[in-house]
Amino acid sequence: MEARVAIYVELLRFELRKIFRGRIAIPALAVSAGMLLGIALINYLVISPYDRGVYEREAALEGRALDDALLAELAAEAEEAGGLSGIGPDSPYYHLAGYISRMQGTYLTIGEGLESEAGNRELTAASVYQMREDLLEYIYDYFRLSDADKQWWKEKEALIEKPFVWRANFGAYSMKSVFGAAMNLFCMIAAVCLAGVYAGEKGYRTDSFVLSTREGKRSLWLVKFIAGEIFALAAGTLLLIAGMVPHLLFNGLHGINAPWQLIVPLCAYSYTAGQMLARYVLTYYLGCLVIGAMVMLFSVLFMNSMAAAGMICIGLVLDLFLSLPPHLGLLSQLRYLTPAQVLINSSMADPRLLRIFGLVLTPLQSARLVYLILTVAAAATVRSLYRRL
Amino acid sequence: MELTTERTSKHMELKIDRVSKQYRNKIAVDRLSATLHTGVTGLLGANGAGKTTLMRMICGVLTPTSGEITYNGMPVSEERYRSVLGYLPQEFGCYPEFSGRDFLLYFAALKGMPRNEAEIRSEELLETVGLADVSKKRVRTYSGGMKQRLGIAQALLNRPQVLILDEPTAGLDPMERVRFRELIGEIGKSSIVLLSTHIVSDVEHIADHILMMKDGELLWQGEWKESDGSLEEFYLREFRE
Repeated sequence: MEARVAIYVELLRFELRKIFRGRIAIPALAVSAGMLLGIALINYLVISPYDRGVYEREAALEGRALDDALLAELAAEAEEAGGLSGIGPDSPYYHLAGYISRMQGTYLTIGEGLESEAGNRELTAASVYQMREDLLEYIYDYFRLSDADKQWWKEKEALIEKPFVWRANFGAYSMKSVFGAAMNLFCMIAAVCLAGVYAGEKGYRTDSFVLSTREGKRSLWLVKFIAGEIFALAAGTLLLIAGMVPHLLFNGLHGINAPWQLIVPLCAYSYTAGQMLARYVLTYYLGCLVIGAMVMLFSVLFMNSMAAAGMICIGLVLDLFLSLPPHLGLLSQLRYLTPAQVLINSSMADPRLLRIFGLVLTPLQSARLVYLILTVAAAATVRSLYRRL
Repeated sequence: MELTTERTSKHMELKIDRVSKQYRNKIAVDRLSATLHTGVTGLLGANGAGKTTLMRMICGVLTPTSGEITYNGMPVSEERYRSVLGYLPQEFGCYPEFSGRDFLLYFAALKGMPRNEAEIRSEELLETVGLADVSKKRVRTYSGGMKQRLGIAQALLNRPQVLILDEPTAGLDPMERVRFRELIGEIGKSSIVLLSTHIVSDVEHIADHILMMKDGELLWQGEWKESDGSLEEFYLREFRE
């Protein structure tokens, strides 16, 4: 047993070398990580939050209830600036104005019938919370939620304290924005670097060699799969770190205790930003695993690196541009569980629940479950296809 | 240096029993039967005769459409058989980022050899095939002949009891060819060696047994002695008919 484990470890070492030392892996990783790092850094270097005193101004409202008094101050500031959008970053109400605008923006974009009402609403606590309630109701109807699901969300909503208490959240908001971009870049990295995990043997014309050996026929599929998933996790980590470093460098863990509603306004999760970001990290890693597994599945299915990479690129384009209306039911629900979609969701989170054996799963939970199932299913299919080679 | 297996006295038998392989409308190997024993067997045939298909089936890389191949009664599809098999395909590549030594260590692991044993055996074989000096250089810098010698070393890693060599002399210069023949002759004393070629001189002096294939069928098989005359002339005569 020990001897066999030693052989698997030895094979794993070689398989990892094949992936990491491939001609494209290091340059592709370096360019992608550099892009994420560069884009985030430029934001900070050109518009440094310190230079502009963002924290100080955000902190000026720290701990204040989002009530009539605060909203009246905001309304006065907006009147002077010619509207909410006119309030500049020098104002302590800058972030609050942005928050209300985001809610109103969602209001304006999602419902034609509600559009005319949005601009006319006064900035009072009652109107803001009523607007939130109307929007949530509208979203529940838009996504065709059952009465039971609506009730489930309403119970969650009831747990959220109102009026909201303003907490500075700029840092956490910036960190959240990294996940979607990192996921999309990861898909491309995985397509390029993992497409050859199985197909590469045919490309290098080593398949006859490999398949005539004992471990080559028996366990190499698993070693290769594990190596591919290790690469997926490593590449995912690198991209996430590259995207996060500038935010952490400039913001630290600023905003980590803010309620999630201040970051994703129309969300009924009663978690802090830190708790939700931890869930995002878990979802992101499971997303990396499932994408890695899918690339390797295509690799063994087509035994052609270009075809396998092409399939992932087509999938990525479809994921960016294909929209499925909610009336398509489960199909539409599953379509929006792709890693990039789940992680990009900003102001309007998909509220469709998945009920399995009495368990109620939110989209983030459903996504994680789906990724796990798909990864295991992909591994089983890879095994079956490999043994037929 | 020990190149051969330790099982010198034990009886070994590779039995090919009415084996066929069909690809859509083409029959690559047609109901071929033969039994191979310890020693070198030369497989002669023109390009397209079905030699490579037969060898891939013997190695368990291809599954026959019908018939069975067994080694000492064990089907070649079994895992145990792979432990005693060494195979050099006709066309093969190498991982360009690996060094020659890494290449051998990787295949040693694939053959289930422990690391220490693999390192010793790799050094031995690199010396034998004349690649010791360049063993740490990347394979992509190797010439065709060097890659061929690396492939031969790979096939010998696990001291195979069944050694299948598909056109092994392709790409070797005359000196290397002679060295290779001597090496195979030595291994053939204790293993079943099947060596395919379309160059008669490659097998004329070292093969104990000859198989001749044409259009997927076995044209002739038997032992060839020097007293029988020129194998090349016989081969050409048989193929013209």
